[in-house]
Amino acid sequence: MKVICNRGALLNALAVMGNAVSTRTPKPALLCVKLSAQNDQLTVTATDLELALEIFDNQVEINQPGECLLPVDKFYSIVRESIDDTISIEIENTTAHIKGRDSHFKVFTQPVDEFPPIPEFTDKADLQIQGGVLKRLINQTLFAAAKESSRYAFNGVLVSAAGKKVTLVSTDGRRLALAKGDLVTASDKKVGSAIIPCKALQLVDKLIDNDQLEEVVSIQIRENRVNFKVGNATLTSSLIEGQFPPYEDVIPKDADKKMSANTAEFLSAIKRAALLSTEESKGVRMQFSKNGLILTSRSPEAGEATINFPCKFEGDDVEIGFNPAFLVDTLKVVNSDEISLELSAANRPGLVKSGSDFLYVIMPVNL
Amino acid sequence: MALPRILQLSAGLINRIAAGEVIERPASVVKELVENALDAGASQITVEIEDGGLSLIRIIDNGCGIESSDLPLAFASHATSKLTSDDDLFRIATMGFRGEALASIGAVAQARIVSRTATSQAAWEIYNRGGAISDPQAAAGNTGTIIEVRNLFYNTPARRKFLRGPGTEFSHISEMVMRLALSWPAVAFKLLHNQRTTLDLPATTTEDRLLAAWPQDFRALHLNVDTRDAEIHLRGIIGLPELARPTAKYQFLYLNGRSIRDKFIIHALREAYRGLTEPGRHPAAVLMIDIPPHDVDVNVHPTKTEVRFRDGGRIHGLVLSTVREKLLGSDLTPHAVARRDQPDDPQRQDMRSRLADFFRQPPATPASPLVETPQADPNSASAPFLINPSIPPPAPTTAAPFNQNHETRYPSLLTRQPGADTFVHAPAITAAPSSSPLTPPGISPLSDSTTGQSVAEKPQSFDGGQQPASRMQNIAATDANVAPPAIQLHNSYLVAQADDGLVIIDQHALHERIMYEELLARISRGPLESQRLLIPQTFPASQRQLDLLEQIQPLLLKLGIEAERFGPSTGAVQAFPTFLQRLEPATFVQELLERGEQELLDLHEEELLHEVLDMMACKAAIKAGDPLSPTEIEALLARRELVERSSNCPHGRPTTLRLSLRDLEKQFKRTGF
Ligand SMILES: Nc1ncnc2c1ncn2[C@@H]1O[C@H](COP(=O)(O)OP(=O)(O)OP(=O)(O)O)[C@@H](O)[C@H]1O
Ligand SMILES: [Mg+2]
Repeated sequence: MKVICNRGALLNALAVMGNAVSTRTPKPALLCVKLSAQNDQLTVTATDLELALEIFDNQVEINQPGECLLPVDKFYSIVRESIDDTISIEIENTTAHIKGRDSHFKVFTQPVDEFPPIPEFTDKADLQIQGGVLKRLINQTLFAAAKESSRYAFNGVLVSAAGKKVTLVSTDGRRLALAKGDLVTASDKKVGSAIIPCKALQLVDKLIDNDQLEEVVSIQIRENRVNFKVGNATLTSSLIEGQFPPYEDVIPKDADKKMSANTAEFLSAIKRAALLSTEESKGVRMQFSKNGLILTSRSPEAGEATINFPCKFEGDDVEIGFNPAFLVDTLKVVNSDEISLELSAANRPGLVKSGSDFLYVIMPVNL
Repeated sequence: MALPRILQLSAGLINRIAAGEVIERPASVVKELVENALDAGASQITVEIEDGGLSLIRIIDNGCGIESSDLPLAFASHATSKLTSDDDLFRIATMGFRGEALASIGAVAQARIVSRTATSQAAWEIYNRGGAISDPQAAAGNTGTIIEVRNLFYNTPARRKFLRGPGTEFSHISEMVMRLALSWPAVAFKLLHNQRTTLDLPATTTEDRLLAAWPQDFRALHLNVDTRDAEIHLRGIIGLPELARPTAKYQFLYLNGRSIRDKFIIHALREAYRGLTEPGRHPAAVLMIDIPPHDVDVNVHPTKTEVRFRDGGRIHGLVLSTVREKLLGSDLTPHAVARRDQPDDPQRQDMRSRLADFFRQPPATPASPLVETPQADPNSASAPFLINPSIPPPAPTTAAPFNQNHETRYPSLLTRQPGADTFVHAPAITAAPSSSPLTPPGISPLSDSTTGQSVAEKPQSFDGGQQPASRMQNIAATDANVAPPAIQLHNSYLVAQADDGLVIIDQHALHERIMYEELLARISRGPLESQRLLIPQTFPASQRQLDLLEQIQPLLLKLGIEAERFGPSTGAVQAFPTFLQRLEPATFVQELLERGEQELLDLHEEELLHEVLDMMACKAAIKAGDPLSPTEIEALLARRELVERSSNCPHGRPTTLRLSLRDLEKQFKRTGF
């Protein structure tokens, strides 16, 4: 194999690749990226066995096709620190020669056949969605998923589609985020729902280029896999098996009190009210009345905070505690200037809504 | 078969049976006789033992003596000079009161008393051979009393068979004499075994006498206690937690000068040391309690070692609060090297000030050979040993060769901007200030963001998880005020400078300790803050576990855990403490119930509370292996000051070891110059 690569394009590919390789693996091959040069294209692949990421780099000149496995950390560092516009990579037996104007790195490769086979992405897409829309959906849900719950379904985001709409739902058992978005074309086939691991969605989010939010992302959901095609990259991931909790049931329908406020102002009020909360007293007390909202927090070590927040409130007075972090999380990702918070009682969930595309259920804290 | 007849026992037999209760072994004889000497006001008591007391016990005192006419009465049962009216029994101020001891001893041995009062011209002697009492005869002797007991149990072979070898019996005697001596510092005690002096305690102060109870090297590690309420006076010495031992060997309890055993007081003592010593270890303590005689019944046990208090709760409370407060108010940090020297050793002071001067001296040249990094921060010119982590390193640029350096040095401070090829330094404290810097990744949702957990969470993928080298340079801080808090070793231990040396801290144990104390304090103000769950978390449970759950439900509620039976073999958690957010509620409750089922839980309210808090603190605390940023280290150490007793984690393991300069000097053999 012999290729000459544009350094910038290769670097972009490798920067994302680092997130796809295993972090803890005894197998050296899994700490590598696979390079395959053929048909005027260099394919860079990484996998952690749960998911696999392939990036097709065509800013290359292929002098001799071939394949190799290079340790991603070393390779990435070499490309990152390089001062050249182009880098040449040549494989000789088990050694890769990576050369720049003034540099020559000989890097030992791993046997190519130790790299696991990566499933192909051939069929027609089930769902097509604009990159920008998918990015928003991911941002509005991923934060509420659990990080490493033993309830596996919590560690992913439920994706389901019906007609021209796709819905993403996530929960960690304490709050639940639900975001809806439009598909480019109505899904013709009946698409069931699938729980996609957080890591896959994080990568998809990274792969969606901020300058090309219009570009369409194709998604395929097959039995136990999901495939994404984003620009010059494809990502395939196994799905999370298990039952997603019946989320429809937990979205409160009996809320008879409603606050409406400016998103940024409410966010600021909560952040300030939370300034004196501590690890074991996180909660912020919220007293809603016609006169608005009073937020208080108290910690025996630090002191007390009171914020008077003028806002519109309909319904009977109510006092409820929330983990401010849970509210902050959601207020950071809503993309409308106004939000509403619906409540029923101190021990019942609150419901944050922004427009018709996003809702968020948050369980209260017993203070 | 002939029908057994009921017979009246002979007086001699009655005494021998009674003696069995008072006199179990030679040490019991010594106890009774020394008590008599003390009651007689002696200021000098000598105990001479031969063959572990089997052949001879001789007690010599310089007390008031016994009138010759009273001598026969001394051996008589129920004859005492110490109770004159029936009322006296309820306000006993002397050691003896039953008038039983000498009679009992006389019944099972050959005894002789030689006694002379201050006014008497001569001494008188009397014998008691297995109950047969001779007439008093004139004899030679000084003022005071000598009592000799020979051939103990010669007439009760069964009892004699139960005695151990002379060595063991003597060690009991020795302990007994020590127990008695501790509460009588003004009395000189001497103990001899086979004519060799084994104990020689001149009259001295209380503290000094109490310390005689412990090995020499315990002495520096004790605290004095002394409190009184309206009627109770509690004083004594308690050992630092590190002196706790698997047996109660160094525990001595006294009530009105009498050595006692009392489960109540032992419990109070154990409670006071809770979390400071490993379970199953007995703290070293000598406690003396003085209460008005009418508030206690000492006559519940033949050897008077057990007592009954009128208001036991009050004594328990006083002991617990006094000892605990003393411990809380003291530096309990154990010493990494057992210290044998007096803390104020002049040589040590000298070394200390020399070292202090050394560090105060301005360096000869700004470019100290210790600093290898040419790009060192300008601030470090005046402090060449120190690269202060609070000064952010220069922002790396894309092509700069330092880039790699910084990446490996501060892996936990770095986050990579998505898709970019540069590294930026993330602020050490997350933008949302309410998240504690100690909160491990994922626990504080304020800092949780989808992007934040990308590369930064697994720095090892690029730097192999190397130790940040630059932190190592913090060790020689020049100015205590700006000293970096500590260096982290193996992502598990913190090493920090202390006034007189250095401390090594187990980060998990310390954090656990801090959380435990904070929780304990928090609990007293009401139930723990708890987060309701969206959907009850169910878990499978056995019938026994569910019964247990019902039983401990009220306590769990106080701790912010709402859990209940959900079906015949299912339990469910509805709410869970906010600060345990990282944990799986159902898993926690399940584990708790499993422990309960295996009878690993003490279900008494107070014990259970501590155990659940222990469990919570342990699980919520940072773990060994968690890398900490300098800010996090600082926060942890700052809270160390806030939390009392932080030198031991709740399981009783120490959180902190101390190496004094003295210890270091010794280890480096520098003490000579
Ligand atoms: N060493 C002594 N010096 C002076 N008097 C003594 C001495 N030993 C014993 N006596 C006298 O002998 C009496 C009987 O002693 P004994 O030990 O049998 O009874 P007690 O001390 O009164 O009560 P107890 O059975 O509880 O010890 C004492 O009351 C005391 O008057
Ligand atoms: Mg007596």
